[in-house]
Amino acid sequence: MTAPHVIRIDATQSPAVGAGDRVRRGQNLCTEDAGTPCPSPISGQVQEVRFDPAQHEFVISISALD
Amino acid sequence: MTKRSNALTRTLAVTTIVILVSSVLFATQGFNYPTPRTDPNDISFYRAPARDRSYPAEPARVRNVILLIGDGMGLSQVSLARMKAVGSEGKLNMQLLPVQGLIRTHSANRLVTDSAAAGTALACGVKTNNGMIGMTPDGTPYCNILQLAQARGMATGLVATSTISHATPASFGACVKSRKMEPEIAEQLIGNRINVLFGGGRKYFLPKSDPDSGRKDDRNLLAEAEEAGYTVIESANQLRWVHGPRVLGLFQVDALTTISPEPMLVEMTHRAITILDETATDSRKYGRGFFLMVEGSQIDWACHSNDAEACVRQTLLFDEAVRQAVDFAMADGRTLVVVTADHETGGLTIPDGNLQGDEVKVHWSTKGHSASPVPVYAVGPKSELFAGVYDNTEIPQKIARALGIRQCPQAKK
Repeated sequence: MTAPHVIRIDATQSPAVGAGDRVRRGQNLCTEDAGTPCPSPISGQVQEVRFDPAQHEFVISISALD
Repeated sequence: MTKRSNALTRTLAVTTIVILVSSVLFATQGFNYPTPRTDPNDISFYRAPARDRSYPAEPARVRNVILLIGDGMGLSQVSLARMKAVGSEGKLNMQLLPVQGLIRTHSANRLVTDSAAAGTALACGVKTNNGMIGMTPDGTPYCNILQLAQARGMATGLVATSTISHATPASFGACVKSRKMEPEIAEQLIGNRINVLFGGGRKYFLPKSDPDSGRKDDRNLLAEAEEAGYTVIESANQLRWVHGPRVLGLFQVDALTTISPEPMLVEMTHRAITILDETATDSRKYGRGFFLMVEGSQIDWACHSNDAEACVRQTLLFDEAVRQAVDFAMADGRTLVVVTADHETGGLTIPDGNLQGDEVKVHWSTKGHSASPVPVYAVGPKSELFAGVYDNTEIPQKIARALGIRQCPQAKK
């Protein structure tokens, strides 16, 4: 089993996905009005979305689909 | 001779004990705060203010300025904390202040700001892009209001519950292209000789050889700070005893936890005010009063997690610091207190609840920031300048006007 991909997005914007969501490669992981797009690097399932206060970022973990 | 010697020894011992006990009692005066609890959602520390408070007419001259910033604290965050702590008819300390206003918060490149751009607006009086600190989007560095106060001969201080090099305090003590440059920000905070620095983030002051370090070089900023005349402390007990004119208090390797045994924000605020007031009174160099910025950093973090209980607790911790600042200002009579926020976080609304505040429904529209305007509360001489609806860049401009500083904003030469 491969380690999940970890994507960090600035927390000024809101993540548009939550744990359990399936995402496609290139899908925007942020809300539409957030300004900077944050495309998913892979197709897969979101394992976790957590806030990292030190970096002021959301950390999104995505596992590739088999 | 032996009897006389024993009597003398006994007298000396008793005298020493009396002096020690008196010293402890004297040193702990003013620290009658409820002990910070280990439950991260406990709000029993909060002392409900009286329903109304009257403020005396102030003389025209401002000697000291205390600016308190609730990170992520919109009107709904204040309302939710009020309902939970004192019921729907009550008011928090900040809401009791006689002058109130609203500020818009957009940055130079986004309708929704971050804390770096908002901090730069509140500190320097100019708009910049999200992520940038102390400079306009083209890279032109600007003096912040703390530096302008320092140049005027005032003692200065920063207090935060984040790392002291985080975006908001950084805006009042550094000038960098990215908020992520915390090691460089730490260097500038020390280099700018800010008298009092209280918060977390010791990691950015330690050389890379230290296992706790967040630096990529061998600079030991704690040692450099001591060489520059700072007293370096790291515990609540040391905080109670320390004196100026320069104190660096870093109470965690990373951000503060806001629970025991760290000093609470109110305690750091109290000690910062005391040290800065002593310094301004005793020192010819800093004899023209003081400027202090206090940030309740973690309201924002609670709201990013859409955690209503944590939001209430962090707002009330911040409001206790407001009480401390206002109590000093009322006793001093020459201190302007301004309370505001950098932006709203979470898009929080309160769609329903009961009047007692024990059943309050909340709705979060985002996990990020929002463009909602944020409140301003003020008291003290020249506080009337802060009434109305205006831009966040006008906050330092109004403070400068209150202090008689002619030019703000002011590009660095």
